[in-house]
Amino acid sequence: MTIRNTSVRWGHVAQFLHWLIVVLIITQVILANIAEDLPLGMKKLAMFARHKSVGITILGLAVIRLLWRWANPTPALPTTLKPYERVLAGVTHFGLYLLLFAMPLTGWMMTSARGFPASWFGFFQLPDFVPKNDALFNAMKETHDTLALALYAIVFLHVAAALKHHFVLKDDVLRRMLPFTKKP
Amino acid sequence: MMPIPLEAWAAGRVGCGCRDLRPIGGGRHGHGNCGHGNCRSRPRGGCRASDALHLDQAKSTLEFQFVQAGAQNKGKISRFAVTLDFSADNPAASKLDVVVETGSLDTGDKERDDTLKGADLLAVAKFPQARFTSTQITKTANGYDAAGKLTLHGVSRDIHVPFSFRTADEQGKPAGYLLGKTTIKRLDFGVGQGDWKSTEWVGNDVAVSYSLRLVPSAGH
Repeated sequence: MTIRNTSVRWGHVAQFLHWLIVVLIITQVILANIAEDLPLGMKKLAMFARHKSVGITILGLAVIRLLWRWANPTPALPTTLKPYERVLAGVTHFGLYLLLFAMPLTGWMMTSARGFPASWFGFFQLPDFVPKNDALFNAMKETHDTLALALYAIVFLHVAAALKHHFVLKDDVLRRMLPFTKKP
Repeated sequence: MMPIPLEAWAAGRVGCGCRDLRPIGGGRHGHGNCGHGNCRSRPRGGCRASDALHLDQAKSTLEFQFVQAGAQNKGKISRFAVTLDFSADNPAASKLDVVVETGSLDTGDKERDDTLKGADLLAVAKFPQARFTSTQITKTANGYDAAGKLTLHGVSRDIHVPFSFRTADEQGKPAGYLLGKTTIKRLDFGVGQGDWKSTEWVGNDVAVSYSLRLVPSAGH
């Protein structure tokens, strides 16, 4: 296995970015849900501050991931896929990448529109994305929440497809994104 | 608008140096009693070299800045009163008095404002006003320094309020401009009970900046 991608397998970097982002997205969902249920106060503030910091981390990783993808070969889909399955895979992956940007960006707009500047784990303060605006905050909150539901749906499709490839079709589509597996 | 030295202005004024410090009520208190022998205390020697200035609320700002979750956040106070009784001949006898209605704070977010006004932070219902009263004003390299007592959240502490001061003749009417910034530590005043005692997410330092336009009392 190599650092870079090959035509049949994802490299170390692509795998690392994929799984790190998986962990961070799960963290985001947990933080957001804890924060939403908390009464107004310090704990809620802390949860949302972490949520914003992790979100900005994901945005940065998404940029790196996309650049890395462009600079590397993309492992080909199995030749056995039907045309509609190729389209579905393409749409799903495009949707996932889109949301990797759209979720943090709408979140950033939310916090700026709310008038709460965000910081990255207290190390530096982010510039305000948009000026303070209550209507924009409400619109962005609505969008952020809706996109989260879209993310759940697309992730479900993505996971279901990966499992189908592994257990039903018995190809190496899942395995080639897993670290610690033998070279196909 | 031509700046004139404060000393010249203050020393040159003859009239009633009204020392009636009653700044409660957002600076909209009247001074109709001044200048007609009704002043509570008339400086000895015919009021020379002393004249109380009051706030022009519309052209003044009182803002505060604090760190929330690693980011600088701002707020402003909309109701406060300032009386500067400046005597160039006797700076030690000069007085700066500021009364702030803590409930008039505005950080641009109602939920946050309500939290700040709540029992665990400013406890506005119990302590509706904060007050700074100078004990000594001294000349410094850059302007002046008012040492005095700040009572906030029912707790009094000595603080310093540095400021620059310039006067201007605005179409025959004098006006004073007081500018400056000081930093207070909220926990010194018990602002932050329970979870809010922690400075992990909300910093202890609160920077207070003031840009005030002061005018002589009406009736002078």
